[in-house]
Amino acid sequence: MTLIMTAILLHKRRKKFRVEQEVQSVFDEWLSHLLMEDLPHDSSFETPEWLTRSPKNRIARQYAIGQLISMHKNLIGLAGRNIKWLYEKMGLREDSIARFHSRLWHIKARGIYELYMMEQRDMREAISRYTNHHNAYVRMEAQTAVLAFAGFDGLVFLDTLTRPLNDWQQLKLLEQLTPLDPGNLDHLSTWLQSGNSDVVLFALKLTDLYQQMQVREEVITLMKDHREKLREQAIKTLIRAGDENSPSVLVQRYAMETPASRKAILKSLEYMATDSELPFLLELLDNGDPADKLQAARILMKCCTKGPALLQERSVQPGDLYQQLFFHIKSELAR
Amino acid sequence: MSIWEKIMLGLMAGIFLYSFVLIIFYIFIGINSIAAVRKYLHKNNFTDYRLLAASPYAPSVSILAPAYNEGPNIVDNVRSLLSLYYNKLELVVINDGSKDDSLRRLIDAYGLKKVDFFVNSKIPTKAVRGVYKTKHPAYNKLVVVDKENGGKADALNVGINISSNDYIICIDADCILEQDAILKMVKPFLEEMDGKKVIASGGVIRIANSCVVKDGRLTRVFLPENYWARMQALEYIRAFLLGRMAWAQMNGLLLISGAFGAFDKDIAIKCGGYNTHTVGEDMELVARMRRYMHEQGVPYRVTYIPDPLCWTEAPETTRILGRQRNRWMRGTIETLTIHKKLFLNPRYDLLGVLSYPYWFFFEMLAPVIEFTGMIAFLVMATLGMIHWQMFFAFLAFIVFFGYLNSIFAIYIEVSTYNQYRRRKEVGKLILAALSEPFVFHPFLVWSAIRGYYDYFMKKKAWGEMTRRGFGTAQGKVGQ
Repeated sequence: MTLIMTAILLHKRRKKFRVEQEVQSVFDEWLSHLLMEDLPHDSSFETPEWLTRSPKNRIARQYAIGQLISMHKNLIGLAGRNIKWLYEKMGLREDSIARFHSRLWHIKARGIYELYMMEQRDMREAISRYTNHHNAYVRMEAQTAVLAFAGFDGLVFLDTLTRPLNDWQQLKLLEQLTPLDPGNLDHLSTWLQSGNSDVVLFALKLTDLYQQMQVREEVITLMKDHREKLREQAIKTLIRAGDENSPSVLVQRYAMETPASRKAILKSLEYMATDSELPFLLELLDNGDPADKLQAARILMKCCTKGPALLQERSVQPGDLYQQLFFHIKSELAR
Repeated sequence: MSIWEKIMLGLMAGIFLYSFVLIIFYIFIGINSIAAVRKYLHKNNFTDYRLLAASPYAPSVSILAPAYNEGPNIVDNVRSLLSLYYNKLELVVINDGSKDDSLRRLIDAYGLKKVDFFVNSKIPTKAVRGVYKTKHPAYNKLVVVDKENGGKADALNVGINISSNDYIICIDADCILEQDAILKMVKPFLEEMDGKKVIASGGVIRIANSCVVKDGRLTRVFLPENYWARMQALEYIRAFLLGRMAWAQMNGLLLISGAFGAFDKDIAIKCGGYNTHTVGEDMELVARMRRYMHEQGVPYRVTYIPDPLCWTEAPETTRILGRQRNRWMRGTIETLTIHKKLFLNPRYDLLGVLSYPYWFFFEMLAPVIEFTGMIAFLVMATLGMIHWQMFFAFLAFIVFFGYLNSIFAIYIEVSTYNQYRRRKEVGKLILAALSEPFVFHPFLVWSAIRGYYDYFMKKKAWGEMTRRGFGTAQGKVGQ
């Protein structure tokens, strides 16, 4: 039976491949020809027979959607608009909507993906209902969709998000927002106080990326939060959202922190330490573990006026350690 | 009935029960693997991995590639690794005291210079003789470490000490990675679910024999022409697409192949890095990391991704293949012995009550039981104790169940990644599966028995692994 199933599968694959090859040879040429010209944005356009909505054209239509999405990703201006127009005119949007209404999570997610990739903005309201959906993948696609439709305004879903927003999704949303103007980010303070720790984490990343100094106090408060991941991100955020007092705030926290957060503090100080942190760094250089010593030496060398001289002085003392640290940092800075 | 006859019948009943439980496990694994692979494909159907390549929030990764006498291929292999698509990447090549000119070739090819480097020996290792870097902007991700010979595990530990990034990907220097391999391996670490930290992730290894390799990249996939390599191609499909995916789905995975695995560096260091006293250092590290997380009471996951991302050359002769399987068996025995505390220990959840016992009974003991079964069969046949009708019925059942398992694996492969696209190749794979119970499998059982013998003789050597190399170059690895 497994043998028969394998044979059937192979046959189906070959058939699908053949149909795709046939469609590809016609579709790509047809499409490029069409896109070169001004499309007749009126009723005179007729969908070719092999792409009309019928069960036998299912593979061809799915292939067409995939091709249109991939071209739409790479084209802007008139060509991009033409692709969207074709997608709608050929009734492919209805296919995507049908997928969006599917009860199977992966088909629903695919439907949402197709709709936002083809800029079907009128679907925003319907899709936004799924931004807190119990299925992680439907939820993620819905969140991506509302941002695609509304940019930073789409982030309002964070106000009511009670489910997880994992690091991958956060990264995806941040990348999606990168080319856009953030405006005032009015809700940032609310998100930083959200009961959902993933929302807080995401808001900290937004604060960092867009240097939102107005929430500095909230960020400092989060450095004392009981959740380590939030403390760590707050420390990293302070590099860009902090002020001249930030290094001393970090130094004060150091003794109370876990090893991972301590590492984050030392990494942050590399970008913001001043001569005021010299005693702390020297203490670390003398009594820290080897990794801390190395980082302390790096900060001294980069940020403190007397740092290089003090390190060189120590490097001639008996024992190899300070010498190794000194030469390591020197060699690193020389590259 | 004499006492001998009673013993023999008892033995046969035991073997029957063992086979029955094993079959149940195989069915269970098959069903789980379908769910795992389908879920993976659905959720990554339209994932844009390119986002990860340049994002400031992508995790930083160090690739650790230990090399021993890889002179003829080392420059091309490093070039191939340097071309991998990922921004926050560092490539650490560890020359494990090679006797050939590997280091000289790297220095010349990449304009390397010895630099002052403070080695923070978080994990004790053999001495580092030097660290080399280049000012050439195209190769700024490359770090070459020269150290005294200490074996693969020691070389990897040096790599862990030297590396500066948060995650490590340990590979064999002679493997070929797909361009997007790092992107796909890293993504699971960003997908923590239910508060479970991802501590390690494995990737599928595929057989590159007979494939076309150009400029360090795999350009065309073919099924191996050599019988032994082809059998391994089938075996790898079965092991990776069925076995490991199913175990990962249950969060019970105990082995990530040393040829390609990603780890959370911090956890790996806390566990003490690779164990230099075993030849199964890859499995041992995963077992130790899992055990550590359990003992710390931190929820965690070990994930696996089914995409074919890493291609390696499989042994083509019985001599080399036998050595490899001998070593794998010794590694399994050593790891399970080191972590015997896990055995049926409910404190370690699924790891203790299912994963470890499965490895113990069906991976470690399987060759012994099969071998004993064959001896028992010969004795019983001599004593005229065999009910031949029943014997052939059982034999046919077992053989056909084996076929079913292999063909099911081929089915999953065809329905998912379909690497062997020609109909003829799928036919050849099925033919290979038909010969397996009579040629390949008995050979593996015999190699494993020799592994037991060497284990009890306290033999620790890896055994030299001669490789033909991709293309025309001839290479040699072994420690």
